[in-house]
Amino acid sequence: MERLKFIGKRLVTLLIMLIGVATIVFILTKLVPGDPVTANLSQRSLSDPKIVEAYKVRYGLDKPVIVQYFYYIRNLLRLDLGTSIRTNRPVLEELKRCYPATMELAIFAILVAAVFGVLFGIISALRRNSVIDQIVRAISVVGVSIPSFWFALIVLFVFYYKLRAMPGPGRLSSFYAAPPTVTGFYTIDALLQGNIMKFGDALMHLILPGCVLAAFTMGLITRTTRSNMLDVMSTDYIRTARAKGAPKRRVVFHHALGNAMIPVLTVIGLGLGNLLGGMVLVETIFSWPGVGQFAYESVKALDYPSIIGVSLLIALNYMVINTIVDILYGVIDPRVRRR
Amino acid sequence: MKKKLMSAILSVMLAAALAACGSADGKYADAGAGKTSAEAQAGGSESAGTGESSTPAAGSGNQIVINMGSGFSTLDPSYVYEQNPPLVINACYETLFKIKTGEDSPSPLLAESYSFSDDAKDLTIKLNKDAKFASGNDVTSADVAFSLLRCKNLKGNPSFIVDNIDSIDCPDDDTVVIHQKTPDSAILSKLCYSACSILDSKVVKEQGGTDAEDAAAADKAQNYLNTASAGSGLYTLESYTPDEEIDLVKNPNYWGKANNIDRVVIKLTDDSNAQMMGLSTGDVDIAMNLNDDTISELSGNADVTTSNTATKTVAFLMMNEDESIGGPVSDSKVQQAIRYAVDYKGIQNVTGVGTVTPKSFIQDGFLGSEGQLDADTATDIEKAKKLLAEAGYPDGFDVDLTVCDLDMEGVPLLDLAQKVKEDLAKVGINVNIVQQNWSGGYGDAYREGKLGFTVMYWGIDYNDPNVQLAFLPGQTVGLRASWKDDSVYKDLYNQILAATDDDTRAELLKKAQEQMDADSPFIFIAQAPCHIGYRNRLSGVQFRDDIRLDLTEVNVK
Repeated sequence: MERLKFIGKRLVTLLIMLIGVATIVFILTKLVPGDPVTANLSQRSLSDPKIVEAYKVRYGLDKPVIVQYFYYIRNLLRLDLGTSIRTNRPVLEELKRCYPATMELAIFAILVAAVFGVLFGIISALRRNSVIDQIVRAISVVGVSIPSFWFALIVLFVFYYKLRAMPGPGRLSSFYAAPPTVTGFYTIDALLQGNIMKFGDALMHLILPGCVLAAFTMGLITRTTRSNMLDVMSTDYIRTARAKGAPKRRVVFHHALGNAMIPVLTVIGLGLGNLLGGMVLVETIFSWPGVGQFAYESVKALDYPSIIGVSLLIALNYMVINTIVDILYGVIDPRVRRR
Repeated sequence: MKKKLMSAILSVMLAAALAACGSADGKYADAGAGKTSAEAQAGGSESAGTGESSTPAAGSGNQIVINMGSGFSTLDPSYVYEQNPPLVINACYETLFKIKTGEDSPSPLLAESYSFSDDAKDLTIKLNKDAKFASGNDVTSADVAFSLLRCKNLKGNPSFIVDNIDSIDCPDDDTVVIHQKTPDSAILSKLCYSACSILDSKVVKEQGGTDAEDAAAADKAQNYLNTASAGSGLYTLESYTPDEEIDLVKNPNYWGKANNIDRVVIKLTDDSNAQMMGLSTGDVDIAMNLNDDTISELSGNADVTTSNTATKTVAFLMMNEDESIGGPVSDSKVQQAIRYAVDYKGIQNVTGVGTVTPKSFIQDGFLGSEGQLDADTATDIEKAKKLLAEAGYPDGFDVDLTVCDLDMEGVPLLDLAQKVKEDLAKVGINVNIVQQNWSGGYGDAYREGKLGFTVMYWGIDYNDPNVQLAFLPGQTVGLRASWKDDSVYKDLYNQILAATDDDTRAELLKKAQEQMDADSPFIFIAQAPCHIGYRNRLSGVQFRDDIRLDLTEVNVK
């Protein structure tokens, strides 16, 4: 009963927050000096009042703003995010189309970032002030500070254009058709289709953009892991474990890492939330048809139903990820479960 | 156990990735050896027959890959207006007439013959009896009437093109009579435009399409036409993934002469560098949106041909005739002075190789055009200073030049504004550049004629010189410069619209240009180039203003 009450509370909070986000973004899109009619109709069409009127009626722009807002919220409660002004397709359909692309890339990037970030952080902490530590710290600083669009251009230039070791932009090579959509993840869908070559191709296409996106989060994870490992490694219980003769591997991975991981988990969660919001520049350079590219095109066209849809998706991402991170705290740290 | 499972999964992933890396066509590793994925398919590589495409069994198996910019909001021909989608529409649909590559006037396509009434208002068209849609249905007069009226009544972006059509009669299945409100010498060119593509009315009606007057609200076929085509073109639309890819396959029922390419994959990417790299490595056969930098990067590549063609998209300076808005630039002598002060050669360098400067408002390449300006000799600083002195500004003046965030074929208008500022400084005119967003105020101010001095561009709507008549006084663009109606121009305008033979049209258009050169508030500064690159294994790749590229003319050598 308590658990149901808790879940109910979270859902109501979620709904209120989503309506709040929708309201704020709706107001902001209306305050921005810009007119979707001017952004989407041609110079010729704008000179024809009949075409302008038909366009406004089509997208409900002929109604007062307050009426547009109430219609929008009413439809939102019915899970109808409206129709994209730019593509004339339901926004929900558009998000369903581009979100899996972003999600697949984000998950790949966060896995790379987490695995290498934690590994480098541990090594760096255990070899404090050594050459290895200096190198790892330098890599993490570069990772955090390097502009992703520049890094994207460089890796594409080197690994695709010059070395020809990696595939170019896109999710799949041109000789493969997209696998039948089940999850929207090309790697998984290719496996479900039973096409191992296509799976390999999709996986290869993830590597360059995934590594570019992973660089920033990996830098953060490395630094967070290192500092937390250093803190934990100097605590009394670690000293006790060592004094009792516990093997180093057990001390590091069993006793120290679990406690050092809690703040790292927060960083990973935030990093994933950030990646799931879509990375406009990287997606554009790698022709990755994800949320970032969709958001960018929508903003250019002042397509406010799509802009609000993307904003809601990003808000929802953070809420869900925060909830998952909260649960994982409990898994890692028994004290959190008892609280 | 867990470790073993993880190891097994990782091994499978690694094996698959390595297999992909060294796949039969050696895509990543061998591309540099001059073997492209597409070439591999042409050569009968196994990957061509993996069941990935629905290439007709009897076809050659050729596939080409095209990179082009995005900007596709729909593939419903009756709504299509943007720059890139006509390439796809032209491949999947056909129009009554078509301007063939290298020609400047329309030839019949779905039409077999045509004739005008004496007052030039009625156009009677006999249809080609062999024409069939991809569905197998015959192309009939009912389809023509449905398509043109649907385009008109949807009140979408291209509806103005058919707005002059009053009604359409279909005396029999093969005859169409188009009744116009007023004579229009550009009607044949307009009927070549993508939005005038002839749709299979039976298919479109089944999908909720309508040509009724309330089509703007009642028509429901757009979503269907975004996923499938309903035309008689060489290709059919196999799939369209927005912002990602468009796949076309050969129409098995095509009634005309076909090329030897069975499948076209269009990858949508805006990044010119990515296009250049794809072309260079051989992953891509045609790159449609290269720029000066990427073209020069390809210059040493023996497998690639590049072309820099001047488009009919023209940049111009507009000076408002209303003194309260334009200030000093409303003075005709000042306008002439600016005309002499602009460094046209320098502007060609800004817009890139392939740029030409039109002599007048009818661009080079159009019927009746005065051709190109000699950019090397057109600038005369002394004459400009003299004209300024005569206008009462011997020391020049300060003026705002408003510019928006748009670009012309990839060249930001801001770059042109900066070049103009630099040029006018040489004659004492101190230009202050004011930047505004197109949709954030500039568009409205421009349309309402509230801008005093601006740099803007004009892309052609349909491939006919009449499209430029918008610059005449009292017409759409003329009014934006507060250039009010004028009886001399009005007569000329009406005569041009009524003339249906090319010689008379050309003569009248020349007359209009001479008149405009003397007193217009517009200075046409550059026709932007389009940079295309393609693999040498292809033939027939040629830029076109109306459809960017005619896929029906492209072949694998």
